[in-house]
Amino acid sequence: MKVIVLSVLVVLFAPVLQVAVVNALPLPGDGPDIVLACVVALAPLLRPGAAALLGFAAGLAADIAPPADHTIGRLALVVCLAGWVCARAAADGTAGRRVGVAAAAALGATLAGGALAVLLDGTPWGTALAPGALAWTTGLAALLAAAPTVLRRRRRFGRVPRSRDSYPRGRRIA
Amino acid sequence: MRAAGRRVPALLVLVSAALIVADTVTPLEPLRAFGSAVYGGLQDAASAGVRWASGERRLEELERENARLRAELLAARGTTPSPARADGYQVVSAHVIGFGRDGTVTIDTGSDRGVTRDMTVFDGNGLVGRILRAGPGTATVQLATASGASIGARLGESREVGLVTGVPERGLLRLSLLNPSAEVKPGDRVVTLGSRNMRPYVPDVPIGTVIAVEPAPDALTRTALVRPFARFTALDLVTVVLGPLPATVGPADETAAGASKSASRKTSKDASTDEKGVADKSARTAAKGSPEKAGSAGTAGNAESGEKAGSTKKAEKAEKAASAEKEKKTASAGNAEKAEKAGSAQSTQKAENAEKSGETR
Repeated sequence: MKVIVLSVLVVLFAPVLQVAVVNALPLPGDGPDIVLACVVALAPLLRPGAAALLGFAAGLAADIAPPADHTIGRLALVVCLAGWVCARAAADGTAGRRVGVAAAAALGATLAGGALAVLLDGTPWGTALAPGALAWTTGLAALLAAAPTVLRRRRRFGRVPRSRDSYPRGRRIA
Repeated sequence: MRAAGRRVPALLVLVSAALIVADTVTPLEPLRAFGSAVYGGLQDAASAGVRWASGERRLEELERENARLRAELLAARGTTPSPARADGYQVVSAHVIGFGRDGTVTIDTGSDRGVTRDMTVFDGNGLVGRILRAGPGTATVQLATASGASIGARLGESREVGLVTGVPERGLLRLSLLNPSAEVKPGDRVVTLGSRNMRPYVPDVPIGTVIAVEPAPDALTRTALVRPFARFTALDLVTVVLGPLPATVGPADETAAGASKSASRKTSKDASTDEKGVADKSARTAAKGSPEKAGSAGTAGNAESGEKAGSTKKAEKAEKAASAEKEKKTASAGNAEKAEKAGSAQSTQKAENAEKSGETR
């Protein structure tokens, strides 16, 4: 339930946060892609089909949210695939695997999105694949994917102090 | 369960691909309008909340007055004949509330205050761009540095005519002068040429200064790098030119608006008529100043028209495509070359016109 609420929030507010706050910050490079990072971090908590749907909705939202002026469907395609891949690859993994998959998916999706931008909208390669944007997006995706684990660990820590066994390690492949 | 787990993503991928194809074939404007209604409202609310929190009502009034004065100054500075030369423009001020990745920004003023597509947007420093599309409460502005933008321009001192396109990676602009023998040096000011009916660009808005002259690759145009006056990464308050003041134009206003609507579709025709006016003017100045210059322009025009007569049609087509609604899609990678081609064809036209008007005098 919490995940569904989070998904709706991502679809509604991630594009706004992106254009109104993140792109206005004077970050070196282009700044992270908030929509992609959020989807990739949320996907392991969902079933693959639902993750793909979340990716599609969030990507389409980013495609049509006002200042955007590129081919509609470009981000929907890329983010949908990223969400699906993430959900399939990281659902049963450890926290470390989840972070790794999220980072890899974010990197791959940014590259694929850049290539699509060049092909469909004639964006020059330099802006489509800005190294700054790649690094920021990958980093943020990894951070967000690690966030649930870190938060849970801290909560667990408070309840059972000094108990080293209570670290949630995620489910190991038995 | 397994099957459903694969069917949903496959279906969504197909839908995305269908959207891409549909948007490439015919732009999905209803979907964009929906997006700007929903997300434009959210952006507007967010920025309005921030501004309300910092209590800027009085500031906003001052900003509005400032925008009006700036527009009057701009109009007073104008030297090109235009319907609103002495009477200023009707303007509306706006805040930039969102920065896009496609060389676009959102402003918090939309069709409810009379903003429609193809209106000039500038700020205290210089030209910002033009309105790409307007939603109910917000509008999207295409920056001058966007990869699809091309702006008619002229050099401030010599009044030479050219075309400004974006160099998006470096945040600079490239000026292609139509006259290959035009003198241009670092430090020259570049201003807008102005379009007919002042859409999409009003005349004599400062664009930037020339910082470097590029070595000519083909000697048909002369190109230079221009640093824009506007700081595109730190835009805040901008001014949108709605049109000439209604009081001075009166009943003609409606017909002008209608004409501009139909004219914006046939921009290439506009451009050529624009060129004619400009050429007349330049011929006049040339005749006043140095007769040799007019003569040389005439001969250059002859030689060029002989050489490039075939490519004129092609270039016109390219220009039309470039100024069409979805310019980026058609004029993608070869944008620069196309623009240059268009430039050479225009210079031919211009020289021819100059010659003609010289003869009639």
